[in-house]
Amino acid sequence: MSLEARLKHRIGSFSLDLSLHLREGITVLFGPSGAGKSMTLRLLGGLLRLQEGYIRAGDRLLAGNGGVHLPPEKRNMGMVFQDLALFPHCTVEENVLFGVASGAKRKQAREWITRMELQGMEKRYPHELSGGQRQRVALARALAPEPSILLMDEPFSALDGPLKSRMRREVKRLQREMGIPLLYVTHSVEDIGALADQVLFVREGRDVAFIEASRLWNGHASPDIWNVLGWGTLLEGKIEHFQGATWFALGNQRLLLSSHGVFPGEARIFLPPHKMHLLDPHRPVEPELQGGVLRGILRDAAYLRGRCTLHVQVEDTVVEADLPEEHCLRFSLEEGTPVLLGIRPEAVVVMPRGREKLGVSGKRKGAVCVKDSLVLARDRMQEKLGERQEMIEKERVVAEPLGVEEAIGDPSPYKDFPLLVGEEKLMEIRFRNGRGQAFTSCPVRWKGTLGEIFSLSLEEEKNRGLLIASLNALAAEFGWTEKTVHCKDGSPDLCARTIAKHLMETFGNDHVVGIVGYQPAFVKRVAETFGPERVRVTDLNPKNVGYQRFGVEIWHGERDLDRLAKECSLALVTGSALSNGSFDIVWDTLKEHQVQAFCFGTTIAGIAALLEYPRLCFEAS
Amino acid sequence: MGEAGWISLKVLGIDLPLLFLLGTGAGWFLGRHSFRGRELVILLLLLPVALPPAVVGLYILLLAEKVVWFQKLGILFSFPGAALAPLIPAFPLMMQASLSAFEGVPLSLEQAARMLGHSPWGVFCKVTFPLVWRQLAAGLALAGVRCLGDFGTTLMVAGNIPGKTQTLPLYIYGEVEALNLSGAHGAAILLTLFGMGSLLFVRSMRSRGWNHVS
Repeated sequence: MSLEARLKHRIGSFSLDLSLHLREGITVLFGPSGAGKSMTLRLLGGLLRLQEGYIRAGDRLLAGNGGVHLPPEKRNMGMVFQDLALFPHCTVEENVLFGVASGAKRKQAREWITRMELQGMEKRYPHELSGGQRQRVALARALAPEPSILLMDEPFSALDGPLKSRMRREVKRLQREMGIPLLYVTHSVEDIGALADQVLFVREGRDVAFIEASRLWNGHASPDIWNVLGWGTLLEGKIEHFQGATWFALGNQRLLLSSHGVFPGEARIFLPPHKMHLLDPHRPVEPELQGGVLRGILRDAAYLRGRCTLHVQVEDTVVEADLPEEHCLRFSLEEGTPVLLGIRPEAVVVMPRGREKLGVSGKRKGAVCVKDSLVLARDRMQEKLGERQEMIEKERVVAEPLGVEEAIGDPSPYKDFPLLVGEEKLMEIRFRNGRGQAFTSCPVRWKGTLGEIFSLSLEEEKNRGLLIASLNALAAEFGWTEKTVHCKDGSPDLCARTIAKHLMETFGNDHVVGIVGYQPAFVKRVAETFGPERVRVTDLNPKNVGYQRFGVEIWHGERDLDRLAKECSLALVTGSALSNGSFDIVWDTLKEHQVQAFCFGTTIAGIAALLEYPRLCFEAS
Repeated sequence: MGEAGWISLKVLGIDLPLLFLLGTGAGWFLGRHSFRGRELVILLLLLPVALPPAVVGLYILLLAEKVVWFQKLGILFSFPGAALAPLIPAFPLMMQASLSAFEGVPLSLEQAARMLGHSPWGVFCKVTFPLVWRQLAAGLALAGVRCLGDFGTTLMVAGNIPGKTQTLPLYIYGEVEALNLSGAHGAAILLTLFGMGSLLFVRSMRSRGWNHVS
């Protein structure tokens, strides 16, 4: 059984807007107080009527779709409440059997009393039990009716440490035995470590990131996730070039950055606490930490399980450092002591503002990735231009969004191309004879030189669209790539059919093909060629997610990306992902799972040529 | 006194079920719903207990004078008037007890029962009512005492007509006016015993062990 939901709900000034997909295993829903965690559980359980979106358990629609609302008693879900909600007027036995109809099932349900080590307490009332016993009654009561999904709302928050650990182990054991999806709501980091198979991070009613727990602890967590976890330091300031190097200016201090892919301008950087070093002021700074030194005043030091956490006032901000205890014990660390912190330039995570915002807004969600192919392509283009650089500084160009007819003509019978439904526009720039185009959801009219476009901040999606179109125009002009102009009328369909055929002929039909970014012609033709059961599609548009298209269910673009990567051996990635900044996350995830991935579409033409990404294009192939 | 006692019993027989239904219903509704103006509604419903009975009686008389359909009920100076008049000052006691009782049941208990497969009515019968019935019973006993002891409102609305509207308190008043203190005394003892019995009942309805646990 799996549970899939898109939840949109507003109460007063708080609005919840998140998607989730529960599979077998324990999903921890993590977020600070007021993030909407409990509201999520209540919506899933049917205790609140969903205003917008849907909830689906397996093939069953539980809520959504224009007013469907299955009451809680018909959802077959178990819930353990934060206050446990044991019925005070019922004995242990009555509590456990409360949700079980009389008959043979009651006998089975009674076994839960033994299973949860509650024998001998059957006739006791909840107030006669210890905290741990009450927890076990609540668990037994929720599990006795054999629910298909279990929801738990911070049930162990009131327990002391050892009891909490024991209960966590017990929950994990039970979940493994029963094999049902479990959604566990918490704001405790320890719960993640002890329980989670996957973690959904929420903040201010939005899903910030979804990640396998094993990846979380292996350095795959983005600064966004760390931010929700309340770890590390996010700093706002300016990146500047100085003495041939790239620095982050923090008040009167500077922090050396790895110059690769980092450009001057407003920026946010993230300092991972475990990458910080505590330096001895009487010794010379190690070469690899040169330039990465921050001077500050110690605010506090806390020691736990062989680690020490320091909070150091650096200029007007507090920097967190998490170090092995022995590093701290070497110094006399008292509040108010001046300290030196160090960090290697490559350990500093530069977060372009726009992309950080993408994670928060919910419009385009995704773990923030520092690597940006667009930035790399811009650098490569500048290298390739060499002496021709002057051209792009002087010659003025015009960028403008094209009308639908001008862009793709009449793509009948398809009616749901993103361009046709107003989700995005095709923007074009002409440079001499070269025409470059880019799909973007933030089209702009713009006049100026390509040089100016090259210096625009890529934090904003509209600037990314401009740069992509520019790179395509330049690549077309210099003959580095073909097909930088979108094909029209029936050609996109023909292209899709040819690519599907090409994949089949090249790789055979025993592959599962992933399509990242819903493009109707591609989904239709690939599904026709390989069979809908061998096609997986993800998309970020909520109007598509969760719906069947050409016999294929559209999955969530961020949340289900790992799933797609795991299940597919071939993948097609739309170049439009470059515009919203999700391309690198997609590409890296596919590569990590050794998926043979290809880009398609006009948008990525120039970048694919510059960075040598495999691209499939009917006319270009 | 026998006649007055019988009329008082009939008044109780009519008022107790009405008090239970109306007070429980109002308390449940107000305890489980929040809406704009809720506090004002509660205040207005509780107001009769804070007003002198003569004022309540006067309002009822004014209502009967101004509102045609109320006149048609024909309750003034009749047994229906004697039965319904004490309801008004007694109702707030029942409603307050019921409101406190329902507010004291954590919503999560009802939600847990729904998640365990029970319908809203099933939840009320199996969870909510078992948790509140003692407080409802105590509230009903207090409201009943208030009802039986009502003097001012009944006198204003129904008068003091022996055999028709004269309840035990009015009988005592009549006997005292006639300087027959010993006659009044018997009725007074009866009412005192009833009051004591009710209070004993209220005390016995105090929380059981599990009610002390939040």
